[in-house]
Amino acid sequence: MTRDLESLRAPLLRFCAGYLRDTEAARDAVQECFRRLLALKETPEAPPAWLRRAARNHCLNLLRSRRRRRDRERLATGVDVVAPVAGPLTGLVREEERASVGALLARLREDEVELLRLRYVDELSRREIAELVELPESTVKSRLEDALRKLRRA
Amino acid sequence: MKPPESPLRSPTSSSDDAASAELRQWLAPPPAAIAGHRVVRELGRGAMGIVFEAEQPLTRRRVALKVVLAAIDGAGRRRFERECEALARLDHPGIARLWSAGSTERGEPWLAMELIEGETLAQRLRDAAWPRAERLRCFVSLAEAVGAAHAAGIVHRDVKPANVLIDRDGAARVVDFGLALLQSGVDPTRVTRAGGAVGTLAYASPEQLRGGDVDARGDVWSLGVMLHELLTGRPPFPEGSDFATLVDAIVRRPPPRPSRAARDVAPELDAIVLKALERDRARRYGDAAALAADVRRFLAGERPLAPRIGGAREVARFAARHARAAGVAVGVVAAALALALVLDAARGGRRGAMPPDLRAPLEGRGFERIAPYAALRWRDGRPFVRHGGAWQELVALDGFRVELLLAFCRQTAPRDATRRFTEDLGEVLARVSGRVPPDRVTLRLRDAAGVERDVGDVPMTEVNRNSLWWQRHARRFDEVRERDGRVEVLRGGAWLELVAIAGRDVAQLHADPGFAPGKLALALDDELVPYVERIVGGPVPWPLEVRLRDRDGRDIVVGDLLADDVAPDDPDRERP
Repeated sequence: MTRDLESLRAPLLRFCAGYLRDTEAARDAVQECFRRLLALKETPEAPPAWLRRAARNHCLNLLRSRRRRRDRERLATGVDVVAPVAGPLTGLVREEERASVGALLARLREDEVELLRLRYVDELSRREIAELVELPESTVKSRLEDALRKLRRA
Repeated sequence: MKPPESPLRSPTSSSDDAASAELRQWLAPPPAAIAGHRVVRELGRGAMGIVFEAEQPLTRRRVALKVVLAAIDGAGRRRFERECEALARLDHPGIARLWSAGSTERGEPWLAMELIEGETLAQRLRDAAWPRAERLRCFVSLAEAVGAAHAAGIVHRDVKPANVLIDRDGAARVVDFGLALLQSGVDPTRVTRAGGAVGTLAYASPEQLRGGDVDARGDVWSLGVMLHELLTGRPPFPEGSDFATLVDAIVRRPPPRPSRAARDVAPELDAIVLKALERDRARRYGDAAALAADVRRFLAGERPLAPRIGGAREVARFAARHARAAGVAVGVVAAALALALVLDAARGGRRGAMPPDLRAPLEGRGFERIAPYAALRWRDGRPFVRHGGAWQELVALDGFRVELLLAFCRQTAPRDATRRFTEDLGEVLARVSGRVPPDRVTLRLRDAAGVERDVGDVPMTEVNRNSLWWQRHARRFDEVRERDGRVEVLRGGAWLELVAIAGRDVAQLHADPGFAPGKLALALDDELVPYVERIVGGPVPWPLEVRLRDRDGRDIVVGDLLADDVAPDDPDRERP
């Protein structure tokens, strides 16, 4: 049982890093999720799915508190790559820029990026995604299609 | 578990695999390490790549590691390496240091830059209580830093408040010299996609907008804009204004003196800003250090070198300008009238909503919807023209960069910008330049090797109207396919066999290995004009006849049909 769980560690680390974009924080998050799993009285039916759901909730909570903290103390890093001024003109000139995949991604909603990442990086099936984000599978499918359509926009 | 299909797969696109690999790269979590650096976290991302906080091997120094997720070609790589070397030698407290650089296993260039904590000048400027004396000292340190780069032969090309950091001690630190060099080093096709050439418009110099080369004096202009902003709280060419107004302000209008926006600005500072914002760069400060020195002189209570506004020299220059204008009175008045109308129309801003007064001077010259070249083809959102037997990218037209013209098209026709560019180029050029375009124009073309060259004296004539019309016509086929060695086009919901084109029998063309049917299908979709040029061994005949055959064996001659009910000089009229 424990050895089986260990094989889940690496994919879960990637999974958490996908949300947190921070390798150290991701390691802590994985640790925390495993701790919670082992503290359960009964082993859940599907430990991978249980871990993913726990990890996702944990990461989203961390992101929320991180955002609150960042609002209080702004840490600029010298890498202000996002245009801080957003007038109609900036939008206009940056139109070309937006044609790159990275820029198109930046225009998607966070939940759309999450779905894309779950599907194409974590390589979860639509059913697994649906279960994880608690949406009908048909909704996941159409949202994924929507997101891809926005990215394909030439 | 079945692996997901390629995310960007669509039947029409062929470069999907590359695109989906790129998408995965953008979505992927931060890698554990890049080129030996231990990656800590993602700091931010832009259109070109991602910036990570990382730890250098051995020294464990924290760096800002920028990875460019864009292709870089051989010449670009050499240039990238050369500029990296120059940057690494730049040792100035006001410039974020470049620690090391290289490329990943996959060939993506990376830069390890000094990690600076602080806020950007753009953020700092929001603090209205920031005293002016401090603002000026901050500016001096900024201009001196840029000046140090100039002395080393490096031009930033994108100086703006977002690229300046104020560190904990209040000193200015310039970042993203790296970005400027990447913009010059990366494969040009990607640069255009990334919008690198234009930068942030409000800080761009007139020569940048006009597509000329940019030297240290281009940075001086950008610094002048920032000095104005530091003194008054806003840039002289405000971001909020519409596109045509802004370009007009930068390229043509006299720049406003800071004391207009903030009355307590000393006339000496007015003079310094205006000298930095001279449209003719030969009149500007030679480099950023000279500008810094003049502000320093003012702070020390000395007289700056910039000539006082309203002095005899200014008056003489004003008079000279107007005397010249009087010499060509009639033409200039007409052009000025056109300019006023053009700008008015641009502000009204809708296609087809041109006031009749504007239409007159343009229409007489036949510029309304004429592309300047026999064929204009779009690839990755950039226009290519046929010149010297090869497709070359159109970079600038009559001194105006294509990005600029395209941006204007996007504003006035958001859904149909490329079409507007193709068909209304004369009008677009008129509106952006503020004058009636000449009969002959200069094109700046970039060949496959990336070399830019001006081709002068290209007529915008009636001949081109013809092929442009055919470009549209080619698009009238909803789809083209190859079936059993025959080329078929989808027209009006039915598949019709293509029997002849330009009087040449398609069956006979098949016999020629150079004109394979598959190629014709491709050509009809994409490059009709050059293909037909090859078939007939000369310019495309007009009307270009296309003979189609339906299932019942009836022939339909398309060229004639179209010529009957859609006049070639009226491409906007659709068939009923």
